[in-house]
Amino acid sequence: MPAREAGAMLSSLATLTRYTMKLILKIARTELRTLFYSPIAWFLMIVFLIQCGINYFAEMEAVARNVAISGARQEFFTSITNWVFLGLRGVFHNVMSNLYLYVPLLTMSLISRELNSGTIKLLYSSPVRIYEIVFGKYIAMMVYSLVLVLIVSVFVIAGGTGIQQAETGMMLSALLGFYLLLCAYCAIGLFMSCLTSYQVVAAISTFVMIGILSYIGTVWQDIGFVRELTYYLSIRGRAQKMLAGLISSADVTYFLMIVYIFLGLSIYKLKSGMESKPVMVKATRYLAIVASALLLGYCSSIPGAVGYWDTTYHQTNTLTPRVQQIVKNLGDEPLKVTAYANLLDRYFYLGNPRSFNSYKARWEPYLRFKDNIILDNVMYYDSVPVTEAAGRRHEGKSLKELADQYSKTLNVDLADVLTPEQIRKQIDLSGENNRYVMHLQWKDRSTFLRVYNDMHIWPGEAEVAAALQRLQQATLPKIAFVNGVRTQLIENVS
Amino acid sequence: MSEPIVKIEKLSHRYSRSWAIRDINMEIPRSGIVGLLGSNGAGKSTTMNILCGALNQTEGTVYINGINMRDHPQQAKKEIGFLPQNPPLYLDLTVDEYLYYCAALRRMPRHTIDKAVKEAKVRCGVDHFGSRLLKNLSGGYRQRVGIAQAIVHRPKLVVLDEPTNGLDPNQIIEVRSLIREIAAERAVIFSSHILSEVQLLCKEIKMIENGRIVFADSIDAFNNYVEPHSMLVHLENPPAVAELMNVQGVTKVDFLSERQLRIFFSGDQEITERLVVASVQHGWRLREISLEKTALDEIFKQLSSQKN
Repeated sequence: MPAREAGAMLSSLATLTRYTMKLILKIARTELRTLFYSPIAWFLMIVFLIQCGINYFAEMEAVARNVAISGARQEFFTSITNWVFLGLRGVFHNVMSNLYLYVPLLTMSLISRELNSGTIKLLYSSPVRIYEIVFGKYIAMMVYSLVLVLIVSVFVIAGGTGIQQAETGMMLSALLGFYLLLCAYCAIGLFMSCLTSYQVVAAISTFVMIGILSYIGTVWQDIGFVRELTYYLSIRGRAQKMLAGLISSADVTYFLMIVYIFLGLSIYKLKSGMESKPVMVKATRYLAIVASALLLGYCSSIPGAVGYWDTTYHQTNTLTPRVQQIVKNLGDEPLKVTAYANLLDRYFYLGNPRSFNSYKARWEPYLRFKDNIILDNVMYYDSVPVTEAAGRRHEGKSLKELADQYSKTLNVDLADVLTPEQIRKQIDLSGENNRYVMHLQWKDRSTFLRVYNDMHIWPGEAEVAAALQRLQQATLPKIAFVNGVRTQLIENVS
Repeated sequence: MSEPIVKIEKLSHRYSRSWAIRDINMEIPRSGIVGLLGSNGAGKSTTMNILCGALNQTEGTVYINGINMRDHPQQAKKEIGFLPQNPPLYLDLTVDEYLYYCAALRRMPRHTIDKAVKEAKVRCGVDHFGSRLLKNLSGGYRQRVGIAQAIVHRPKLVVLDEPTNGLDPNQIIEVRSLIREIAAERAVIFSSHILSEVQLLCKEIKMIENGRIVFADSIDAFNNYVEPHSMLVHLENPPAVAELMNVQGVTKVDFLSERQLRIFFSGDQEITERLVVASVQHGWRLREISLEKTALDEIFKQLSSQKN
């Protein structure tokens, strides 16, 4: 009997959701209809098509010109797919960076039209749930976004058939990134449209919100906890990784979370339009939405919980199999990476608390294969060689005076910076000339990983792999230098 | 069946600080037209919005067909058709598209929608406009479509907020007869600030002033209040005030000009007869006499002062 009751309940629930789904789709269809009855949907589509076309043909022409110039040797080509679609001047990059111009114009009227013309009362007085309205409107936008994706796909298909051995996987992941970005922007636009009955204000607020989300990753980077939040919220670079062909679950979750936040806020905003609840209750609801989303986002970006999918043909976004093996050989023992940044050193900015997130990002490829790499950052001040700027410019000043001056200019609290005595007690960095250096500790062994004076500065995969190798070898080979003609001197050089 | 379609208990609503309506109680029977009368800003629209679930009240309870609006809004709203002050039209849609959409929003089963839309269109006289865009319709027809969306799902209660506002006299007459037709099968509440309209259409009347109900009774009872108590008289040879005061029932005389005067009276309207007789007897040379209908504002004043 209980089984039958449960079955009946389930089936009634199923009918209920079916009706709800039908209604949501009905609202979506009507919204699309209104959108396509107005010229704006058509107009934007055409402008978008032209923009993609201009970009695609310009890049194709550039490729053709290069082919003609380089003759039989075909120099300087890495990947045409990259050049035409994914590179800095490619179609996707161009389209994504102009997307913020299109979306607000589409979304501005979604709800604000209803508020302005009073049709919102029809919705309020109908037996429709607020979330059905919001989802309906949002699905309409998702469908329109799909149309934009289709337009780009036209060029992707054209390119895919034209380019020999095109990177199909990368292009598909770029399309996915493009679509997710569109969906996120649409959710933002939908919320902004709930806030005001003036469509233009809704459009401008959407611009502003997208702007805020792009820049938020750079603010409060020197405050420990807030830095994590703001960096996480930043939309910048999220889709870029997919352009490079790397889909990570953290990035996908990020876009879903943005959609969740703004749809949730929209639902509560519309609900509050027909209620007179105390401000506290409303504020708590909004906060709850944002907080739950951030928690979800935080969980999704814990190193061990992130899934990756490298869609490139040669797995160029992943460590090479050999380095993967080296990382794997570290086993379950945690790897501790402590960066020592000298306030007076020219590479101090790498260890500035403000760039902690880029420090983390640089270790991300390794974190993917070993989730217990513990990153730490220590600031100190100590003497630098006279050849370095600090030594040269401020001859005659004491270290303390120099540190004072540098901490003020760099806006770093000197209380967080270790004195020469303190740092020397902790570790001897004189061998490194007190430059920025990372100290790797694993089991009871340790080694240094340096930064370099070349273009990249940061150690590449080979250098990091070498350092990890050093950790794993009990005895290091001695390196001998042959010096002079007949005499042979042996020096120990690590 | 005797249960009222609408039952409002101790309804109050506050916009940020000031109370728009306060302690409203009312019941509305299952058929017939109920008029909600009140001057602008009295709280008519607030009451109607709450009644239809477009606004959530601060205090009090609304029952529609015995269902608590707050606890089960979806079920309660199925029984309501609402025409807000501005008809809620999507001007980019055609009449058909719009009405189908409204029917779907009211969660009508799909197979019944065709017939329901057709019926509503015929009832409201917009049958031949099915494929017209709403933005190409005149004000009167827009209002009709607005009413059509309110009845398309055959609700038990139709709420019309100032349905004749902004229409020309012909259109007003049409809309009034439409309201009468609609009310044949269901309860209709409509609001107005025009007294004569309410008198013409309603069986029952609720009067709101300053967010409170100041009068609620049948239209006959209401008419007793609205009885005139002053008249304009033109006498070619007017006597002294004292002489006029001698006529039974006259309470006050105002001279508007030399020959034009306003006479206030109490009691029945037989005073007109007595006045004419007196005029003939004393040779006052009566040229013109007309009863003044009491202005709505005065009734409000009167009613609210009685209430206090």
